[in-house]
Amino acid sequence: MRNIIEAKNLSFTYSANTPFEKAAVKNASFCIAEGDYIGVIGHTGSGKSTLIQMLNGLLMPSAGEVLVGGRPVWEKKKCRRDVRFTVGLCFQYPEYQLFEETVYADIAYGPRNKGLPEEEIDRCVREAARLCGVGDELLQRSPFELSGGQKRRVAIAGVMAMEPEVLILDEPTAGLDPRGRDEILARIREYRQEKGKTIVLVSHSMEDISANAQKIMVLSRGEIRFFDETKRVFEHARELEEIGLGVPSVTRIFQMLRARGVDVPGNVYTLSDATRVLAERLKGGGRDA
Amino acid sequence: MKHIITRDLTFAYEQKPEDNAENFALRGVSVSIEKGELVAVLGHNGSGKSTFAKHLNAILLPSGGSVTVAGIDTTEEDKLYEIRRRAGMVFQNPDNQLVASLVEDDVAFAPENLGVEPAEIRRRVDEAIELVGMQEYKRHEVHRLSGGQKQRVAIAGVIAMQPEILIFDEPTAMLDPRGRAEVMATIERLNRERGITVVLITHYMEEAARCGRVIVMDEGRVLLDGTPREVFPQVDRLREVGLDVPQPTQLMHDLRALGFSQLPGDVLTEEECVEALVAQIGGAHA
Repeated sequence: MRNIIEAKNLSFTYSANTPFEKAAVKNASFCIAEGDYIGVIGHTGSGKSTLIQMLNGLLMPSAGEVLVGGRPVWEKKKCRRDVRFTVGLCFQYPEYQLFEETVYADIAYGPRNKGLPEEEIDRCVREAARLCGVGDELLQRSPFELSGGQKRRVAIAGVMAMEPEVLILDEPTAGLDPRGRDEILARIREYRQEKGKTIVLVSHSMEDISANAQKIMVLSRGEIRFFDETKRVFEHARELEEIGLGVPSVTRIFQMLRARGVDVPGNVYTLSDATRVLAERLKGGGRDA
Repeated sequence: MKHIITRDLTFAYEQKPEDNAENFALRGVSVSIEKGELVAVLGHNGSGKSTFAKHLNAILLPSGGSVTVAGIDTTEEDKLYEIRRRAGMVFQNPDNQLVASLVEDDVAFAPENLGVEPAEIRRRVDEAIELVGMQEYKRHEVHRLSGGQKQRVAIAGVIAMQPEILIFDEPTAMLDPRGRAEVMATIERLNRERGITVVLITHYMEEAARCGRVIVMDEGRVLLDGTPREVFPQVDRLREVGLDVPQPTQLMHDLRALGFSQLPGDVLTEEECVEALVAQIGGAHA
């Protein structure tokens, strides 16, 4: 697979040369391949938001460079404009960014700025609305009349409507109830399946990340601690807990079982895997295991 | 002593609710909460749990039925401030609740407005800040704090009014795991050490599992009401109304569904889950 994003020795320092100077991202190098589903996790202040803002040219790196589709983001002004459409960024609590008079106009804002012809804009809007579960009956309503969950889906549709090659979502499920959370995550999976695009999901929730991402990037104090396949990252359960990140509850249960001498794998992180493994052990095991 | 009593409480946001039964956010909620209880209220968005919470300190008044808080009927207009002082509320977004730029000024805001003596304000502010574990940050600027720290300052601000009841409306929803743990520990401590009655509205099942009692709401009614050990094993029922259960409970439930009925169905914690599995499979030292 072709690399859609390459980051080379990326660093970012806030308020450089002042008493508040803070290195938010330090020397990060990584590649994201086309079609990947990447989960980014790290506690508050670990540099997650700073990092993703460098990936679509919103922040200029203090050092290093970002290539999107092989082109350096900061080389030409034209590249910076293009990269905003290639890498779509959906911020935390995006429902606060709705501003148009109708849901339709709000979702159409991105594709319109992209300079698409009107019928193409219409197609993008309707498709994104469908993918995000925003019904036709809502399109002519004011976004401010909608419920919190509906607003969130409209805001995500607004980014999806640009059909970016890479869709980055910063905490898309924050503050939602379990049903709302499952719905949003399912919509993102559908988008990826239908369009074959790359997804970067930033989240505090190990459960959400582990159930969705193929690869996980773990950030701590501005550095990439791990960037690997999901199951490999969970092999480092102890380090993850040391840097203040929870591992899924089932992973901890399996670690505790191992500590008690029960022979189970250490990298189980989903409920379905846990159930499967334990069912086998319970069947075959018995007390003599 | 009954600290909070709601009797057949109904509420409609519309002015003329009789036109449509669906306009009712609450449809007959009867709950009584003892002094010193720590009660979690669960329910998906639109279940009525926030509407319920807002009745407990008279932000909303019943369309039908009644709410009595610390012995006061919430419709008694001249007792409004008394109710608000005795039943304090903490909301989801700490940024919307903080008013001053320094931590201790913010905590002093409410007692100042209540006309408390300066020396007494000082004492209360120090005590409240210590109770939420923010003494090191007393003179720090509020806007430089983390989400969890801000939320603890917001709690201290309510504590400085010396309430007997605290109502938390999803206080950890906007926080990261560390902030969530800090705030939850603070809530438990206020309940345990100060005997404050706590009503905690939350989406997080792990938080609810740590409370003495769990009330599950659905469509404006109480669906389940009991200890976590009575409520969470009803996995299918909870899933039907769009809620999760703690992962250890879910794991045991799924294994039991596969026919391993020798496993207990009322497991809540990871430790209990491990004990139950070791007892069946056998560890090396068993």
